[in-house]
Amino acid sequence: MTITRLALVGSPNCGKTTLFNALTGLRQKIANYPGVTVEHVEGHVDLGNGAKVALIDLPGTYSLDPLSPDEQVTLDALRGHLDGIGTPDGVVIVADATTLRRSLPFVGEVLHQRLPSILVVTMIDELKARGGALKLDVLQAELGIPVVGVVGNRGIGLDDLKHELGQPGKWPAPPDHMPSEIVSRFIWADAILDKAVVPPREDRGWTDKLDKIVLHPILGLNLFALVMFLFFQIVFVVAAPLQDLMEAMVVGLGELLRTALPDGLIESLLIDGLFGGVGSVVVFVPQIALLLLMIAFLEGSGYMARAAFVIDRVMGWAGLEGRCFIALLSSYACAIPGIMATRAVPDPKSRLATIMVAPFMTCSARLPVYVLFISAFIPETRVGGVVNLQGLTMFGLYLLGSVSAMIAAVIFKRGVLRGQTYPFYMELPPYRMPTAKVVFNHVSRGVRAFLKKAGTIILVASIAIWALLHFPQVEPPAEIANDEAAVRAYQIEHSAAADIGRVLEPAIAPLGFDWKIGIGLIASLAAREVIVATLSQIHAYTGDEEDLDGLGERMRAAKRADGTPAYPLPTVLALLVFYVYALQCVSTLAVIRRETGTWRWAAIAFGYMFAVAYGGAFVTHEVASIWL
Amino acid sequence: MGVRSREWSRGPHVGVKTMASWKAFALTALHAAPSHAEGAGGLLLRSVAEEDAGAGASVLQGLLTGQRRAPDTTQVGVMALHKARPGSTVEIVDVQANGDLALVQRLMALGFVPGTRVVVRRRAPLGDPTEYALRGARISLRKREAALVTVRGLDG
Repeated sequence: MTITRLALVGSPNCGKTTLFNALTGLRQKIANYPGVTVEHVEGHVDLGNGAKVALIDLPGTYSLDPLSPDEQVTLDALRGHLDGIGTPDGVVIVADATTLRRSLPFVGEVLHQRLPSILVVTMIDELKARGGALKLDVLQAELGIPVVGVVGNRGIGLDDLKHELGQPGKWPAPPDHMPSEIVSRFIWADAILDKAVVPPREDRGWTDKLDKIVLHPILGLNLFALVMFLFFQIVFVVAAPLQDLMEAMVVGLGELLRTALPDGLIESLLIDGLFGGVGSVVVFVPQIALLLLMIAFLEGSGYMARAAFVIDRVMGWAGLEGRCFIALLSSYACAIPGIMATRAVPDPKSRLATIMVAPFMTCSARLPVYVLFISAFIPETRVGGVVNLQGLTMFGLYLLGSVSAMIAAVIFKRGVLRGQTYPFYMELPPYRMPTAKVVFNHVSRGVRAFLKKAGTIILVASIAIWALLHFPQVEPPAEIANDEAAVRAYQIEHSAAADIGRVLEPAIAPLGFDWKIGIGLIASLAAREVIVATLSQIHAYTGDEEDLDGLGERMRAAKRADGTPAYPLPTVLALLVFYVYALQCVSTLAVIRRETGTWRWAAIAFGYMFAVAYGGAFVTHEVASIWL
Repeated sequence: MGVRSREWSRGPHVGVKTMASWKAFALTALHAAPSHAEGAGGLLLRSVAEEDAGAGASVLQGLLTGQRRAPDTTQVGVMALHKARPGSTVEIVDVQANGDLALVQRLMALGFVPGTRVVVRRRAPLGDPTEYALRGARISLRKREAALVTVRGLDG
């Protein structure tokens, strides 16, 4: 027996995914801006009596004439053209109660497809709050299909809906006199709504009051800058103590293990490779969670769409549009969802240009690298008495990445990707307080992805680094045989990693990098955080020091062979700039390949970003060497 | 008068191209008044402009009966949407896009159909785009797209 398949369709941001999550118990991403869902997702709805139906969540669309790749998915789903999914057995049309005058004509367009359908009206609570009312029975009689009202995020109306979902066979066929042309569909819809709806007040209450400030000509731009700025101050000031705690825990656990295990290679692999490598990256979970938390608030509240509105003129100058900006902002969490978000961009060339610059946006994988180097080498002074210099440096790195992304986009869009400007339209949703559940899901999804990466790519890379640092095993000279730290240093200097690093050294010496950083750079081609794991192993805690100082302390104390500091400031700054630009992330390359359909663009992205990284680091090192 | 007649000579021509998808409509109009079928776009413009109620139904009426008069863009208050001043309320008269059918369809799907009231809310801090309130939604358009929508001022 094949399971009944129902498709969820509706305008962007009308609450389809909220409803989908409420019905299926899945935790797909929800946010308060149009175009969050960009691909189809299937889930099962337990109807309570043991029966199940399959529900397919689809990207939102304003019409069945698709302009962008995500809208095409929706049309394909309804036509039965999606791989592995035939024509759905029924369509669950979702419409926001407050914008029915805009969305009911689309309902008519879907009904014209003549598939068994049901209408779910969401956000009934917002309609009531604005003094509107909806006569569901009148709407049902006029439309000739079942109509259910719900409040998706509070689960109101779901039982009625589940009851209907269980019997799509009983849904009456859509009326066959549906208007086939768009203006007549609006006339048809208006006539129905005149009978069925008491329209809500046009005034949106506190959304309008807030917008007076957020979209104000002067205040709006300043607020935007302030929001971005606070973002990074918070990451630094709030999460740093948490990270210290994590680090102390990891080192402490490692020490416990060290006393429990016999000396030898196994001990070294577990403590240096695992605790030193993977552990050094995992300690950054608090910062990453905090970053994700703030992004969840920006996205869930409705601010993201406003930021796109405010900055759209700048994007227009770059030949892009506000939706590209949303995709770029999403890249602050990770370039992969950012690149996926470009599916909502209608213009293929703008989309490609956005994909090609999205990796410049500082993702959470850079956070461990930035935090490690900034907290170790940038003094924690207050600029002007209030602003934390470390936070300011971090803000500067994010700004450098974002501005560079913009400039690169202009170059792409005015060069190889020149083309006509596609229409821009964007809906500004009301502000909404994101529910705790949505925020929690957003953060936990990101943290789990980070831990998964730590447990796979970073783990493998750490073990590889450990092996390269410990083989071939060399016998230390007799005079240092009793000094554990010296034995370690001797082993590392004569390891395979050192051999590889020294081959590389002439190429990276102009950037102020020694072979140890070189090994880290090579290893972090897999994922950026791996350089932290590498340096953590090179500057491993030897167990001799009295206090369990952090990795940053050990790196600050490290000396080169000639006795100068291993990480002078110009080198640190050059390294940070290198990480702003370099595309060291195999997952991102794979996604670029998938979204553009060819390795060519992935190779171009990697190549040009590496060139910019090298050039940027070189200039930084030269300038910093003169000035500092 | 010169401006007016130029508008009129361009109107039906553009109308035929942009309204190509309106085949059903044009055919209906053809039945009602065979000699006037070419001016679907112009018809919309005028029929709404002359009906004070301006509801979508009157547009349909205008199309079906095939009444025809030169559109009068010099008439007080008829302008492109991007010229409408923030804070004002306007009513959509026509949507045309030099043959870009998909764009006309999309603007209409967003609610920009003749007869719809639009409140011009605000320009973005950098001057573009502009936020419009219509049909319960808030849509922002850049000047380029708003210029394709012809409106008539409702408040002075």
